[in-house]
Amino acid sequence: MGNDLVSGALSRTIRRVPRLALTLLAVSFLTFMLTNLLPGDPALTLLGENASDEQIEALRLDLRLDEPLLARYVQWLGDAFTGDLGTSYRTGQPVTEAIVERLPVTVELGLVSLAMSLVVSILLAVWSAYRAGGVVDRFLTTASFGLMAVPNFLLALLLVIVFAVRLGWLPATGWVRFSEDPIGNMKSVILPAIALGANEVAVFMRVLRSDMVTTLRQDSITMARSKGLSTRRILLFHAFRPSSLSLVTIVGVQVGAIIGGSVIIETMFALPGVGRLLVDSIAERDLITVQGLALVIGVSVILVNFLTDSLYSFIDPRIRDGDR
Amino acid sequence: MTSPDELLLEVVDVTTSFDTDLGRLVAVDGVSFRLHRGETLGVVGESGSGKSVLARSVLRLVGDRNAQVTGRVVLRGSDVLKMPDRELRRLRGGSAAMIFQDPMTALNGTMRIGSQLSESLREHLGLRRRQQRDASIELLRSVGIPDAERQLRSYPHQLSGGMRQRAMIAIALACGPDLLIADEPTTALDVTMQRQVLDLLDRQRAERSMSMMLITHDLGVVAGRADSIMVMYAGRIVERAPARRLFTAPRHPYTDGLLRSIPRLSDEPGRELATIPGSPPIVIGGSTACSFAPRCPRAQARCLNELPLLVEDARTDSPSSSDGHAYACFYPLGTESGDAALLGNRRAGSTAAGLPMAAFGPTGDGVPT
Repeated sequence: MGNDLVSGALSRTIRRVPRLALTLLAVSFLTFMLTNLLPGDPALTLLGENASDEQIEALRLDLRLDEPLLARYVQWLGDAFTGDLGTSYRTGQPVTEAIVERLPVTVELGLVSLAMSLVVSILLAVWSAYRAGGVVDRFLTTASFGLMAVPNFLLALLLVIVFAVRLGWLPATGWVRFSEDPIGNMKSVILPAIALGANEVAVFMRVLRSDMVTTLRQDSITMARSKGLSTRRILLFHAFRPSSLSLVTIVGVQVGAIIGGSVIIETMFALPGVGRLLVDSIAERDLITVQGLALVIGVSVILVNFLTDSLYSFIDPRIRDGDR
Repeated sequence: MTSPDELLLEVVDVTTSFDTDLGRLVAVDGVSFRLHRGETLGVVGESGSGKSVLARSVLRLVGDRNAQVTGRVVLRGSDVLKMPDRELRRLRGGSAAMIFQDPMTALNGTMRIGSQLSESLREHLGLRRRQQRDASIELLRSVGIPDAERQLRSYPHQLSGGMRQRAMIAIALACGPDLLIADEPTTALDVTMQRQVLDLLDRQRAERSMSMMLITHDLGVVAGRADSIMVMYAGRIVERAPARRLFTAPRHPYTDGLLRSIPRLSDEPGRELATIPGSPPIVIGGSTACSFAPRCPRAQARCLNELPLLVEDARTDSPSSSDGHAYACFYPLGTESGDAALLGNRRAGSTAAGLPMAAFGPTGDGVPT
């Protein structure tokens, strides 16, 4: 009986694996088609107008462009599985290596940004819902609409002007590795993380607040109050947990938005992350790298959503028993 | 020890209203009653009569920020409506507890039954983990849940409807309350379960010499279980009487209508069940007339212009007792003026409120022709 929570949730998760595999396959195929759907000769596209005929012929051979599409896809997928995403024709660096170098920056930026926006939005949403219709609630509702309307690059500029230029507290651009200087690392991540997560605060807060307001009206809350429990305990155990399903869903969905946002934010703050790499690769028409990045990003977004979906059964036991 | 006549709860002129866009919605309007230790008070009324709001007002549980509760609710000597929050929290779940209509929505679906029991035990009795577990098992057993040890680890949805209701009762009784407020405790259950749960509540009440407010829309539920019964309509008490008396000699036409709408086995087959035409009103700004008049077979001009107050029945055996028979009607059953009002309306073909007498059906208006 003791492990029914884990085993129930696990078996529900395992049942969803085939569908996950299918989705991943579809994404990989679409990514692969990226280079092939472009008009014209891929080899020409990759090398540019100034390439000689020999270079183009060599690349055609290298890309196996004379083989059938499906055969090439299977080959590419097999390579990708073993961690080989090809080699950039611009830099000569293996794509996997380029991504692995930059991934920690983006992952740290994303996680710090997500953590900050979750903490802030949960606190504000719980407060807002508890005092629904009150001054704080009405202010936060208006403020969150305002925040959603501010694009992150504008917020990034404002943050840099205030905290880097005027006050000089934090660096305006650049990245310090955690292994070199943990405090410097935190300083270099904080402004980009705020710029990236501010919109999410508004989104998370609105979703959680509205679910909390609904939950707080239910009999289970009146029952909890009739038991003489403290407000904190009621909000945390009796209201927050049953209200967090939509929040979890939205967090999964917004991970895609965070990755998209990191492209802009990393460029603005000159951070050496995958978002920056993507921008550079597109600018340099480095299609092999773009393809590799698209695959990595697509797979990450799908895996994150798979994980958040699996969280449902831990949050609400009725879901793992198939009651809901 | 406490004496059997000990006054546990005294509710004086409690009014609960909500600020709405339409004005002040009065859900409970000047309700007063007393409840002695070990007694069961049945509170009966249709949906919207204010009985559930009254129940919540007693424990100051009306959650709406636009709600206002006035009057006095004196439980064991202290006024619930005025006490500081800390004291109120000790009282809720400690000396007074509440159970609800549907345990599926009243219990927390994301917490195990055991945790929902032990959080009260920890909060009020300060029991340690081991003691919480022992006490929880004991409680589940006492409400007739088999395999109690295992059920501690169950979630509400894993139990059957009847077991869920028992679990909710166990949670409410966890800290030995003096007062249990049961708001429609059997409405969500099927008939066989209803009886079992009502018997369980009654047994627990007797064993713990606990007082109970049993709120229901069904007079059949309180029959034989309540010591006295209070009938509510549009937020006001329209009749209050010792249970036996209310069933045998109702005074208020509304009580009479409720009694007539109960099907009886002795009724001849195919007999049309009496109904009360219309539905309860929403009272904005307080009553200035009898709220039941628009649905009443006895309604006269006076009923539409003047608010009948609760008066003691002159026939009451012990007129000094505040818990005797009282009603709020100008033309009650079993009085000359009441019979005359009914006959007059019948002759005129409609009541003073303009309701055709035919709306009451062949037998619904109170007195056989």
